[in-house]
Amino acid sequence: MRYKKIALVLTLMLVLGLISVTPAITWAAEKKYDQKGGPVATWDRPIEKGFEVGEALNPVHFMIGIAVGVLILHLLRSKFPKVVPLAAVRALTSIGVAVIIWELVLYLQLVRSVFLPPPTAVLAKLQGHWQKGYLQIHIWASIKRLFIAFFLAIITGIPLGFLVANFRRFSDYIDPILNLIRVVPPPAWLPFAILWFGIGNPPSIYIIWLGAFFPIVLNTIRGVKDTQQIHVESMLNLGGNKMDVYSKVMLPSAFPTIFTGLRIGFGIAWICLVTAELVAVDAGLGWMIDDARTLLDTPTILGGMVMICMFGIIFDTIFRKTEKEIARWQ
Amino acid sequence: MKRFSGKALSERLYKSFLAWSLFIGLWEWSIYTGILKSMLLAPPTVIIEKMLYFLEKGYLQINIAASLGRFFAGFVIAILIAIPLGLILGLFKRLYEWISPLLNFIRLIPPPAILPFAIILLGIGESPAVFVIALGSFFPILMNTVQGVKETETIHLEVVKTMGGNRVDLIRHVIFPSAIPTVMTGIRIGFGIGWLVLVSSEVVAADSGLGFMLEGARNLLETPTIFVGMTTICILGLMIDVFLKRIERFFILRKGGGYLTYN
Repeated sequence: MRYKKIALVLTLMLVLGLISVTPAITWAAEKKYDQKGGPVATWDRPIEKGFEVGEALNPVHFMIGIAVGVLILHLLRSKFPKVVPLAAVRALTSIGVAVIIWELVLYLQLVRSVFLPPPTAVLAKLQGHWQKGYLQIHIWASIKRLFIAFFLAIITGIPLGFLVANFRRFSDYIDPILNLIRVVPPPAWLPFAILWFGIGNPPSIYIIWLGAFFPIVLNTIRGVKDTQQIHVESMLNLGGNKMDVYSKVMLPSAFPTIFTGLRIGFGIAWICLVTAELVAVDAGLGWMIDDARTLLDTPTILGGMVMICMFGIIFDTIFRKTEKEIARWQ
Repeated sequence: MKRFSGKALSERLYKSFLAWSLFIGLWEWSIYTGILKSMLLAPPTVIIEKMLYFLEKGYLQINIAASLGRFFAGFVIAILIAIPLGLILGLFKRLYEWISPLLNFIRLIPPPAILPFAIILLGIGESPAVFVIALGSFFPILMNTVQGVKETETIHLEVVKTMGGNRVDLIRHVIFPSAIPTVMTGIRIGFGIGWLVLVSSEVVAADSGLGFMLEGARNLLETPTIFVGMTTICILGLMIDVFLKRIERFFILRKGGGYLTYN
C-alpha cells in the first residue's frame, strides 16, 4: 500500500511539476524568439500550401487494412486474454468500424467529398501538415495556452477556495460576488477580454482561466467544508496549531474533491480554449480549423478535430485514472 | 429537506446585498475618479441607462428572443434524441459496451470545434448554431440517462417481473421513473454546456442574438452594450438554472433518495 501511495504522490508531483514548469520554459522560448527581431512568425498562412496533400492511401487498401487490424486484435484477445485488455479491443473495434463506414460512404459516393472528406484524405492532409511543421506549431500553441491558463487557475483557485471555506466573515461577502460572476459563460467575456488585453495570447488565457477557475474554487470550498470535524479537533488536541490543521488535515482530506474540480475545470477550459481560438488568436488548433473553414479546406478541419479529440482523450484519461487512484487512496 | 430559518435567510440576503452594493459602488467610483478608463469598463449607471434605452427600442427583446429560440431548439432536440437513445443504450448493455468508446470519442471534441465544420455542412444562419448547441447538451443528458437506467434497483425489477409485468411495464413503471432524477441532473448539466456553446456560437457564426450583440458592440467599441449583453445572458442563465434546479429537486425528493448532486 505504501508503495502505491508513494507512486501516486510522485506521479502527481510530476504532472503538477510539468504543468508549472511549462509556462516558464515557453515564456523563455518566446523571449528568445522576440529578441531575434522582426514579426514573430509562429504561424504560417498556408494559402498555397493548403491544397498540397501528402500521398493519400488507396481507400480499398485502407478499409481492408483496418478490417484486418481489427480481426488480428480479436485473435490476439482470444489467444492472450490477459495481455490485451477488453476495453481496448472494444474501443478500437467500434472506432475501426466507424472509420470503415465513413470511408465506404465516400467510396460509394453517397456524400460529396467536399462536405465530408474521407479518412484517407484527412490522414494525408495531417501527414502533409506534420511534415511542414504546420501542425506542430498549432498543437504547441494550443497546449501552451491551455497549460498556462490551467496553472494560473490552480494557483488562484485553490487558495481562494481555502480562504472562502475557512473564513466565514470573508466568505459571506465574497460568495455573492463569485456567484454573480460565475453564471456568465466564459465566451461572453470574449469581447471584453479582447478590449482589455488585445488580440493574442492574453485574452484567450483569460477566457480559459475563467473556465477552469470556478469549478476549482467551488470544489475546493466543498472539499474543505467536508473535512470531518473530529479530525480537526484531534489535531488541535494533539497540540497542532492552525497551520497544521490547514496543511495536514484540511488539504489532504479535501484533495480528492479538489481533484474532481480540476477535472471538471479542465473539461470546461478545453471548450473555452477552442472558442477563444476561433476568435481571438492567430495560432492554435481552433484557429487552424477556422482558417481552414475560410478556405473550404475540409480535410484540415476534420484533421484538426481529430487532433483536438485525441488530446482531449489523453488528458481525460490521465485525469480519470488519477482520480480513480485517489478515490481508492481515500 | 433543510430549510433556512427566516432569520438566517434575511442575514444572508443582507450580506449578499451589502457585498453587491459595495462591489458596484467600488466599480462606479473607480471610473468616476478616473482610475479606470470608461472605454475599458463602463460604469454601472451608463449600463443601466443603455439597458433601459435598448428595452425601450425593443433591440434587447429581439436579441433575447433570437437567442432563446435558438437555444431551446437545440436543447429540445438534444433532449428528444438523448433520452430515448440513453434508454436503449442503458437497456442493452452489450450494445452500450461496444458503442461507448465511439461516443466518448465524439464527446471529447469540444462543440465549438465542430462549429466550422457545421457551418460548411449547414451554411451560415440558424442551423449550425442549433446543431452545435444540441450537440453540446446532448452528451451529458445521454450519459446521465444511461447511468440512471443502469442504477435501477434490481429488487424493483424483480418485483414487477414476479407480479407478471412484461418488458414494456418494466420500462414504463420501473426503469424510467427511477432514472428521472439522474436524467434531470443530466439535463441541468447539459443546459450549462449548451448555454456556454450558445454564446460562443453566436459570437462566431450568427447574425442575431445576445452573443452577436456582444460581438457587434465590440467591433464598435461600445463597452456599455457589451455589459448589457453580458448582464442579460447572466440573468437569463440564472433564471433557467434556478428553474431546472427546482424541477430536479422535485424529482429527487419524490424519489425519496434525498441527495442532490452539484456539478
